[in-house]
Amino acid sequence: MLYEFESRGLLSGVTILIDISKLGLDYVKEDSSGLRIGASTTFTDALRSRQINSRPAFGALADALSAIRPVQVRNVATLGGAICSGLPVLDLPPASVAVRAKIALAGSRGRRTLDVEDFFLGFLETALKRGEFLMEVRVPRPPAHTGSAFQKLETNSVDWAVLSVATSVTLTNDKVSNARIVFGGGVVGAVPRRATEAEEAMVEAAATEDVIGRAAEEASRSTEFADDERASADYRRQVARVLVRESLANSVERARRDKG
Amino acid sequence: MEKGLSVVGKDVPKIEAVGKATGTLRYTSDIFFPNMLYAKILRSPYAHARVKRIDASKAQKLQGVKSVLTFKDVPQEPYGLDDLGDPANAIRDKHILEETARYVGDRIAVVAANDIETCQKALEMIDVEYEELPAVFEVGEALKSGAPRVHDYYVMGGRRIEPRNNIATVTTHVEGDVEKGFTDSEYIFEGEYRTSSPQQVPLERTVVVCRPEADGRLSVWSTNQSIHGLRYTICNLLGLPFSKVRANRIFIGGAFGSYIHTRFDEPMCALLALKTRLPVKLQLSRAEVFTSARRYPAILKVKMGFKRDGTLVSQKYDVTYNIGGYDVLGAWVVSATTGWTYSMYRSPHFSYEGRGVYTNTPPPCAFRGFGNPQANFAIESAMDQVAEELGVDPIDLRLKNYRRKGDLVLAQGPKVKHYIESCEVEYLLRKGAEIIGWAGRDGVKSAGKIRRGIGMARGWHASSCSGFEPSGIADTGGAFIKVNDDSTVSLVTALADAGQGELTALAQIAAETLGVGVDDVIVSDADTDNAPYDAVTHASRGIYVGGGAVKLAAEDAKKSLLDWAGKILEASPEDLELKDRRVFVKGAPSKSVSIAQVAASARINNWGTIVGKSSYAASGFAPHFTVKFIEVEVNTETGQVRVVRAICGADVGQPISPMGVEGQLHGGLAQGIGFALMENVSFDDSGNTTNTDFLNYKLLTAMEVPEKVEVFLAPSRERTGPFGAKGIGESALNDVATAVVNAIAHATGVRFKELPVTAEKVLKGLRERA
Amino acid sequence: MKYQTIRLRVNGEERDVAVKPFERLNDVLRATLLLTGTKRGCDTGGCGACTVIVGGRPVYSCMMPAIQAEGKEIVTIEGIARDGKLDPIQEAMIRHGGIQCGFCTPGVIMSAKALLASNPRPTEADIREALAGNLCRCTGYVKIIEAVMMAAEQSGGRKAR
Repeated sequence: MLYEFESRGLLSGVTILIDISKLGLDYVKEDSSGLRIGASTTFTDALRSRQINSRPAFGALADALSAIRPVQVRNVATLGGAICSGLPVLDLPPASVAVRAKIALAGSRGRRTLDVEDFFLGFLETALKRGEFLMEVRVPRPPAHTGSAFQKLETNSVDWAVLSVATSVTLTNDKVSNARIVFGGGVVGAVPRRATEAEEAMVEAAATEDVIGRAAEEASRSTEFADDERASADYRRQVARVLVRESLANSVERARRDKG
Repeated sequence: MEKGLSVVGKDVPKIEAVGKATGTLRYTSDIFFPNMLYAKILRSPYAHARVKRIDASKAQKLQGVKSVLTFKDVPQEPYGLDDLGDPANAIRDKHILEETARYVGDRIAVVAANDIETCQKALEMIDVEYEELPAVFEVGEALKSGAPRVHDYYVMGGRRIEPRNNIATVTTHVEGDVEKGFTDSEYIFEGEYRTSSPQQVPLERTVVVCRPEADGRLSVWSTNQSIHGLRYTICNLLGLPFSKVRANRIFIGGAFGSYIHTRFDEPMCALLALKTRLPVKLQLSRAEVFTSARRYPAILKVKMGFKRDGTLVSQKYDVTYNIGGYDVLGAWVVSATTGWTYSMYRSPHFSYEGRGVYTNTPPPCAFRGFGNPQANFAIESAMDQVAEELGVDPIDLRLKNYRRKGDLVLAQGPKVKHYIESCEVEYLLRKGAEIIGWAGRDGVKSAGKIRRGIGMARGWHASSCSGFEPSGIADTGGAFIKVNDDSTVSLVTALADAGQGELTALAQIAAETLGVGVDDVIVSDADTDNAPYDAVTHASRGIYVGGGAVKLAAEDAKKSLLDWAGKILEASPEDLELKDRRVFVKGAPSKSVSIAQVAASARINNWGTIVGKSSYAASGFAPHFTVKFIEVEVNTETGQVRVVRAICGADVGQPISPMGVEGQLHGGLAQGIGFALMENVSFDDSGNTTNTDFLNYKLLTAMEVPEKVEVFLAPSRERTGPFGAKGIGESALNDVATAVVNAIAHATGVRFKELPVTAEKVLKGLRERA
Repeated sequence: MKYQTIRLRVNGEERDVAVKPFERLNDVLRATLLLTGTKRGCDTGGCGACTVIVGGRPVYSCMMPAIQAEGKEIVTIEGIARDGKLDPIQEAMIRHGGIQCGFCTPGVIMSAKALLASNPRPTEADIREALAGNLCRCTGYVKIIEAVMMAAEQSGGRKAR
């Protein structure tokens, strides 16, 4: 990332660069509140962690981490870096919103925690203030019978998403008690976008193919997709139906398996 | 296939493979000389603009900067790339640095400094005032009357020529009367096809290093496919005697045709080295590589007339190439497409008209196939469509009409003529069909949203640029051989090796001729001082012409070897044969002497030294033929296409290295699939290239290449080729994309006539069909 | 421009080098240490020709600041032959025709080496995934994948189904 920014002239005002990779922020922990992942944890380390693989509820994270290719990038890219990039087309941002992640920031003025959803403000823009850095990503412990999934459509296997979507579903007595549908790459506005109407329509419904299909339809209809070099908005809208349907089906299947 | 071969026809590790596997082999990119300067080019941000004012004084004063050149510092006469044919016919429309920019990225100035960062700073300090001019990007726009003129004139044969409607060049060829043919036809087919602009993507970025020598000469290393062409062009451009420049052959990290010509950066680097009296390295960034070379995009109009039984009666081709802001090889590709359209199928009536149109886009250049993939896409798509409409099997339609043994074929122009001798097209078609299960292809399973399809295409390419009449294209080669005192053989050849295994194959040819092992052949370092002229390593001619020259030189050396062995063995040279580094009396295996001993005896007795030379001019281009059978899976919900199986069949005559031929077919397959599905250098409304990195220019990775790839070679032998060999490099690619698109048509019923066939286009096509 | 001296451990040897602040590991390896076996195909981590092994993992050396490699084991193509004996992956690539122009080869070999070190019995899918970040324009990957499979079998790991 550093050199991407440098080559676009985005580092011209920078005089000092501090390497934070040795601050001991590479860890994956779990406590009663949920997962706590240090900002300097690489994708490879996160993927291999027992904790992220411990519940199907965290499936979106595992999916997103392994969807980032190639392995040379996974070995070096960090969760903190991906979230602070302000690039929703990366795979981690929508997945983090789907699992309701919070981020812990620290700076000269103290510490604060935000919902990750409120952290993304625009293209290359986040809520990070001057003098702050991201310390930890926290995934609150989801209730039992929660499943989440992430997938993306790409042209070849080392691509940024033409379209990506992360979903999560919580089942209570096999009915949907909570759902999230989050688009990442391929939407207008350069922030992860939730299809809230589609989410709300699922609540209290049984997790059937029909309900999933209608939610996918609604999500596709109510989201504004981007028109760019990679694809047209129209194509993305059509494929969104397919991706959301598959993602929700995955989340529901995982929710049924998730013991809490 | 040849019998009794010991080295030719065997899989041997490439002679330079260990160096490449250990990272010890040095490429031009790896050259670091003491006190070497680096150079960077200042490029126009506008697609069409005149430099009203350029002031490099601040840049020149920057600490570390040794030289800054602008258009005022280079030869003012326009030049052309004229080493391949009669210089009188070359289009001269370019300068080393330009006063008028004709594409975004055009070369305005160049800086040489101690390091790249200083070069970058210096570029930013060059003050340029541009006057923007109206620009055209599409051929349709460029051809309209009143369109902005990319060039007011170019020079050819000493005269100024004004291109009308931006048309730089036209080639036509007519046989019979196509319109009469159409009236005689019972079924007429018409189609228009458009091909795109994939980039060659050599892994090694384009680079040149020039080093001035104490005696006033200049040594050059470059990613270039012709050391002699490079020397010729630089010397002509800079007004230097040829003896002043020594161009060195060095292994190249991929080329695929993008280096058959002398580039803009090479004479720039030479000038800088001569001015600064220091070594200079000019390497393009990956973004610059994306804008410095690509395939000529084409619009191909096809009209074919058939009898109801599928006999082809009349063929009419009209092809328009977008040649960009300067003619690099535009005239050549327009001319070459004569042969690519003519030589596939027979008909009493034929016409070809091709034109190259200037636009304000980065000039394309040669890319594997050089017009043949474009022509193949049109012709083999058309044949598939015709087969469907006539109710004839696509393979039977090919079998009925293909140009075969004894037929006349043309290659890179109407004057390049050859009568086919070896031709195994029928074998290839039948065997490929058998392997993939062609007969049952309509029963191929479709599971839910995934539709499967099987498609095919056939193709070919020439093995040289020569015919039985003067072709007008430089195509000769030569070689030197010497046999050493330890049975090793030294070989001097000017041929380039960009990975295809050229030099190893030549070593195999020399080894086979002289009865030694391939490990006994030392392919010497070569440069323009010591190596006989060879035109260019391109056009799939490396083995057929380059190898032909090596075989002749080896046979020349063999004469004295056998003469002197005969003295030792008291036998006549006709009764001797070579094998395993020894000379044997035929039929008397106990009577032999080692080659080493013959060389030593010749030296001690003052008989002489064993050397051989050759000058070789081919008199034909021995077409090599291929077939590709492709199976695809189409996701009907997303439009994504996956190639799951590929059968590649080839008639290369006698393969010199079967493993090498296989490698070419594999590589051509991956490039062809990319051409079909995803590769395209794209531009925005202002002529900026929008995909100049690997994130945005999509090509195949190890995860996309089909799981099942099979290669088969037809038993074949070409009388005119060294040990019966023909080429393979370009036929490995020419028909792949077409086969993929034909497979998609079989799977979906949708016919795509424009490349690349992206997932979005497939989904749209499926919806429109429903 | 202020240079910093850092200590890099390359192919088992400690090297003190003066680096510019943002200088990429790739430039330090190639231009300062003259280990030109590692190549440079682009500037944005897109082609894989620059792949080296750092801390046991394959990384893009063109995307890593040299200072971040301090304190870690760096292995380049020059460091994998042992006492003049080629690594099985090198042997397989040479014998099987996995090398054409050779420019992707050092990066491919490093990625394959890292794969086999952590997964001695890879499936073909594992190999493809491990090589997804190494572009090859010449071979179409077929013989490279086969060569890595052969090297795995050679090294004692049996072919996984």
